[in-house]
Amino acid sequence: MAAERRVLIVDDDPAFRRLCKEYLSEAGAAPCQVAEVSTAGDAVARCGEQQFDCLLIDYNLPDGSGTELLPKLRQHCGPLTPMIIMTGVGTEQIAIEALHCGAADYIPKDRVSGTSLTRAVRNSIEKASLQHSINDRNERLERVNDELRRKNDQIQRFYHCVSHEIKTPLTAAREFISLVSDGVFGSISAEQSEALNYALQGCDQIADHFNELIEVSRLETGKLRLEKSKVTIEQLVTLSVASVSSAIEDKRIILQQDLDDDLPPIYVDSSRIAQVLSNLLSNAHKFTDEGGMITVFAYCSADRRSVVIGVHDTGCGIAARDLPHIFDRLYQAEAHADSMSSRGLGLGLSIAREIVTLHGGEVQVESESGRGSVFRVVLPIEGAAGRSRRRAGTVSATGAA
Amino acid sequence: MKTILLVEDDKKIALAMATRLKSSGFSVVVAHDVPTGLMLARKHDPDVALLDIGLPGGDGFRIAECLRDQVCLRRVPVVFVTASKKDGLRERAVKAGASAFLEKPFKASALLAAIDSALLAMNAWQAPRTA
Repeated sequence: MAAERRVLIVDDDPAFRRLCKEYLSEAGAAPCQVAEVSTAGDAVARCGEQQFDCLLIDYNLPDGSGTELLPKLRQHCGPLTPMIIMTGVGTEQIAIEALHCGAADYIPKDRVSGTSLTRAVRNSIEKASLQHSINDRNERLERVNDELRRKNDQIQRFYHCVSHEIKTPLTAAREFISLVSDGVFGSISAEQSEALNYALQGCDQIADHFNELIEVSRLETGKLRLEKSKVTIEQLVTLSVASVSSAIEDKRIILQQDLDDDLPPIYVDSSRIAQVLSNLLSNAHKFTDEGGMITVFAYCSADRRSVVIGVHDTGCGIAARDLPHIFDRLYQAEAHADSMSSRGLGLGLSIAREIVTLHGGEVQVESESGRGSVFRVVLPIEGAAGRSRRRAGTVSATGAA
Repeated sequence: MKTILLVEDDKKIALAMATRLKSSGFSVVVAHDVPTGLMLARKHDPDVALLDIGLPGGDGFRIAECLRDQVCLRRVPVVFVTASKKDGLRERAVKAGASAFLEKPFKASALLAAIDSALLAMNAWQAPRTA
């Protein structure tokens, strides 16, 4: 059974008050507990004493208008209690004013009937109840949000600490090994030199893996900030090739470049994009045999709105069943028969895709088992013109308000 | 012989770096915190200041600021070293007037290259002064 609805009628006409009371008590209507007062002052006092589910207020009160009364009542009733203004004939203008002042509804007095009155009261109470649920849910969501944000910050601080605690001894270890290896503490044998080189490579791998881990943690917690600058495609390709060219040469793989002539510069975080390209190149190196070929190419899209930088290899390709998963974190395809190269953490492609997505671009791949692969990094051309066009767009949107 | 002021709180790293720099022909003075670093800077008038960013009693940026505030030390070029990959750190270093920026762990070649570029910066400054 529905709980009784507590209604307050504020009207100086006792006959009208009696009529409303009768309508609200009609059989079939939800049970109502109806109170009545005849002035604005009394209404304020009554609301101070008791809570109501709905207020019916006459516009023409002896001590003030119904709409003036609304804000005074709000102080006692709270923001959600529905207040319905009842107006005399020909005062639709006042009705609009009432709605602006926070009335839930208005009823012209000549349209008050059993059904219209009970419907208005019922609807306004239901709407208020819905709003209440929404507010509750919003409050809960905000609390959860705050908690998540706090946890996020905690995780970030944790990673920051761990980062320092790992890199500090690693730095010392690497440098001491390097000092011995360079003969600073006395000459060393060829065997000792080789052994120390392996140790140094180990240190470098630890550092690289660890940096990848930190990068992922920042992408995860949304704390990564791109440091963008204008850079040419040539510069990007040079940067990225630098770190892998000797490994590629050592494996006797041909590395060539095929960059279009009319490539515009782009506005990106150059060290991160170079990292993305290096990652693609080192994957190409990993999965291509001796005597194979790796090509870095770049061209403008047909609509001249993006630049595509790609890496093509003649390696073993990617099996169809693996293709949908290669960007997943920690996914590693069957290790190639090159046991000397590090397997890595399997984070590279996932980081690459996130970085490119953050730039508003995308990474595409085409590959077939046994027939090599092509990875394409599509990046938007955000020239100075593009940026100022966007800024102008924002101004006009608010200006039009 | 050029003098390098090294301010690094981890003693092992400080020893490794000092050994490397000495074996490359530099004279090195070492401090493990900000106050000692500033004291040594005033005492030795170094040719380069190699500053770890995370230090007890302040950070490397603070030392760089103090150096700039003292007329006789204003032109000492500064190289910042850090284990942190926080975004914006490099930007901040450039704003603080760094000649170079080094990330840990680093290769010896990177360390020496950073010192070289800092020395070049210093030389560029001294040139106009010799009228």
